[in-house]
Amino acid sequence: MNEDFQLLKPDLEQQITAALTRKSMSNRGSFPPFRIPGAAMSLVAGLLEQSDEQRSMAARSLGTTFGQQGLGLAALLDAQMVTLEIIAGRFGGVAQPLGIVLRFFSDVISSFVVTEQAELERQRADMERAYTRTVVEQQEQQEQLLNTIRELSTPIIPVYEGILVLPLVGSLDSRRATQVTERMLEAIAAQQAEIVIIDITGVSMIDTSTANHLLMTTRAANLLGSRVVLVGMGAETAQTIVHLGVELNGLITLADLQAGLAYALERIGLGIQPIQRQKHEATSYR
Amino acid sequence: MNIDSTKANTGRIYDYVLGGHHNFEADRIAAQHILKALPSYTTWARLNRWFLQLVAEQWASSGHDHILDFGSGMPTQGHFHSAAPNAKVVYSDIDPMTVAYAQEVIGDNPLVTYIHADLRYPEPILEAANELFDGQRRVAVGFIGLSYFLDDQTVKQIAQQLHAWSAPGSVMALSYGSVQTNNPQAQEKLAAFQRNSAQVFIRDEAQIQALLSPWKIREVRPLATWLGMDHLVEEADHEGIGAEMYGVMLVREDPAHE
Repeated sequence: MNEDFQLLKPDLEQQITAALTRKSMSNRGSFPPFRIPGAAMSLVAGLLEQSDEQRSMAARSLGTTFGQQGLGLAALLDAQMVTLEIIAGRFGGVAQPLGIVLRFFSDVISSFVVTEQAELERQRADMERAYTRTVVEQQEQQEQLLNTIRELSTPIIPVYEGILVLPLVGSLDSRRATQVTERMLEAIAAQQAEIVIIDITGVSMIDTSTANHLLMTTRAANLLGSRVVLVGMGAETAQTIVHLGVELNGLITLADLQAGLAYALERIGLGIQPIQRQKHEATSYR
Repeated sequence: MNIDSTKANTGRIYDYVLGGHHNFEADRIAAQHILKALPSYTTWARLNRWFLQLVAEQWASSGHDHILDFGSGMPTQGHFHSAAPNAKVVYSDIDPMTVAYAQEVIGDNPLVTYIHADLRYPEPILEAANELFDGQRRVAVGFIGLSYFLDDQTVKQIAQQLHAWSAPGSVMALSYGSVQTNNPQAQEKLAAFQRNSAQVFIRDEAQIQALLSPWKIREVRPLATWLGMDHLVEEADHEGIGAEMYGVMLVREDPAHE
């Protein structure tokens, strides 16, 4: 029987190659047509293994390989068909040789299907991992960006020992006002500041809750032993505050940063004065 | 970076058409729309990928083991690093999501780098190549399945920049699409593709040569001819508009010997 099979080898290789080629469009992009003759030869070699056990092992291994490489199921089924035709042509309706072929292809195909399924799951898992990782990275980047914006929007500048300046720019809503308070109190504690100048020249709008927040901040600063000076209030903001009926008791307000600095320095016993030009008599050359 | 798995993406549509599973529902729907208007897309996509693998084998046997690939898409379905496992490969793509997925697929492979870059500004890609290739500039350039998504100016510019950067003896493999431009049906089919994926630019050999100069064309053939599969491309694949896809092999000659 096996010798008879061996005699069919060239015919089988040729016909299986032709069948796989006819169906090559069913192969995935990963299985180029120039691999077809090799695949056909390995199928025939497997089929012609000596024992049932060896044949079955070869079949399962081929099924796995083809599943990974992306050979199409339609191509594999066509290969089975031509093989059966050749064997039937040679042996007629004898059950044993046809059974060998059917068992062989059944092993190839079942192992192929398992691999295909595993491949599908692996690829989906790749996609899920990549998706999750990318989304997490994106969130981290956004968080970092927000942190940077927060830091940029509330800089606290130590202009002199014991004096902090907090220039605010943009709109000041409750959330940002809370951040300003937190950062300011931290800075007061860390630097033991006596005076904090909050410059709101660049603040476009203040509402009731923001104004109240500033007052609370001032009281908290007082508790830490620090005095708050509010400078740069525009006419519009002043009007708003009056209109809203917010009491700014306990808060020192001055026209601008310059006035604020002069006040702060005076509070700690210093002042800004023009440098006196010292006249040096050049005597050493005479 | 925009993450939106509900929006179709050219690279993942391509993966789906090649039989891969690195794609989402939106990609599969878009692919189905394209296939309705252009049923031959599956054939052409496969021929492109198989041409890529043929090129990879040819490069491997001729000692070209530094591959610089543009518009790489998903590095799945037998892409360069699988087809030429001993080569060093720099992949690149403009789509950040594709790059993220690609990096997941490639994993920890020291021979492969995947760069997120726009080929109109190729500096990061070339820098990555310099690093991975240890300064080797005799390279093999992959430009497969890409030229028809790029306008003339972009193709011309990148060809010139690559020519200036690479060393003599470098090679390039490229594919381009062609149809009977005077056929009104052609415009209709290309428009359907554009609606669901991206704008398509169709060219003939003379235009390709002009755009890729000073690279020299060594050989142009239909993709199916390269693969010995002429008999498998059916009349229907030409879509009644003479649709054909060509593979071109180019070389960067030494100006001193020209």
